[in-house]
Amino acid sequence: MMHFDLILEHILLVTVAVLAAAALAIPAAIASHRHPSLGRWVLKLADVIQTIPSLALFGLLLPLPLIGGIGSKLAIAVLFLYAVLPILRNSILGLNGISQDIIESATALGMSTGEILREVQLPLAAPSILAGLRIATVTTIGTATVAAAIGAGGLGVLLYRGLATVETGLLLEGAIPAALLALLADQAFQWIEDKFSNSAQQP
Amino acid sequence: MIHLEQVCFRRGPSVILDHVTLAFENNRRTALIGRSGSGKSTLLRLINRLLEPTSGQIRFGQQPIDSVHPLELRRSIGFVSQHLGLFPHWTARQQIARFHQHSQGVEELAASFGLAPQHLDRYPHQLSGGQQQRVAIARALASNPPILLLDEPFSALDPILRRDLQDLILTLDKTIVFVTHDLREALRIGEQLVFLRNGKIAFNGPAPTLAASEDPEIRAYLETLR
Repeated sequence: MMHFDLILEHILLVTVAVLAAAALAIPAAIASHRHPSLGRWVLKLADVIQTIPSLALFGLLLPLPLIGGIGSKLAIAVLFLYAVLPILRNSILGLNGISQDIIESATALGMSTGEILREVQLPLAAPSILAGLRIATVTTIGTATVAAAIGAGGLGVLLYRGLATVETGLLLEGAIPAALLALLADQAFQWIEDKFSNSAQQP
Repeated sequence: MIHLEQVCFRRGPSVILDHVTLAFENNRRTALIGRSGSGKSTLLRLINRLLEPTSGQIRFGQQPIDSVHPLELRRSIGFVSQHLGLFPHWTARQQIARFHQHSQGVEELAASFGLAPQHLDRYPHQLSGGQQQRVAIARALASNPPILLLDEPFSALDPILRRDLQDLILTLDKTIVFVTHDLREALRIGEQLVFLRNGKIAFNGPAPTLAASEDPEIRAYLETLR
């Protein structure tokens, strides 16, 4: 039996969390690239967050005002924190990987810092940023199943119910769509990456 | 005229340029020569403010360059570095058109640098080394700047291509400052020669007078031509 409402809930949790993470991680990567000493701290912080087990993170954030409490708000906050690191790390790698000669010649041609960012750095770092978004999305689809533990819904609901009642069928009804979602997202990103490398002609 | 007056450049404790006073005349080609680490690339980058001098002043005519906005200054100075710095995600046409402010159209301009229209729709990695050089020079001159700075742009080319591109440079009616460690190239292109050693000027004069220099390092350099 397909639980479309739960699938939709799951997609919603993941989409909001990943988009919010991208909105923080990409600008943070740009700032980190410009100020490498800041970058080291930002990466360290993101690393530390990543090492906290997800269930523990739910517990730790539970008592916080605004985001705390049972429900999807807290789940999105936790998923967001996990999604930040891969996007951040890949974006920084992408920006740092651009040859200094390219940036120097762009500067020498009279391009402003903003023009260089928009016209040169972001397009050249795009494949790496996309790879970060891909990892973040696929792992968040998996991690989001844990969100059911704090009543945020999603496919995890079926997993917890199946575990509690020792019903393999119910477990599979949650696990299979979650796995398919992850595969689908992975394929979608592959498609976008191919599209991008065709038009960007990266050597 | 580009004037450098008592220009010093330090990086940490090391002195890269040591009280350099120098003038580059309008519409003349000046070769900056010297061994690796002599400060020639640094000097070039001070002219378009990719680097700022630690002390001293650089002027265009009477105007100190730090009184001009750097972006505006750089748009009036073409620059081609050793590794060219072409944008890998843009076609040759895009690279030139983005900076184009020339009475000649993009294709016409490209043709004057030996680039056929079919080359223009290729990405840098689809072009040969010589064609990449031509794109880099065409891009640097797309805004029709009066000054062109070249940092060892031909060092990676085979001798025949190198000669073709040297010929191309000889046809340009610009104030040209170019860095090379190849004395043969310096003598072929440069009307004025400036020899740098450890951040100081060891020789500065018209190219033909270099042969009369008594400086042992310059003599050793001249020996390599035999």
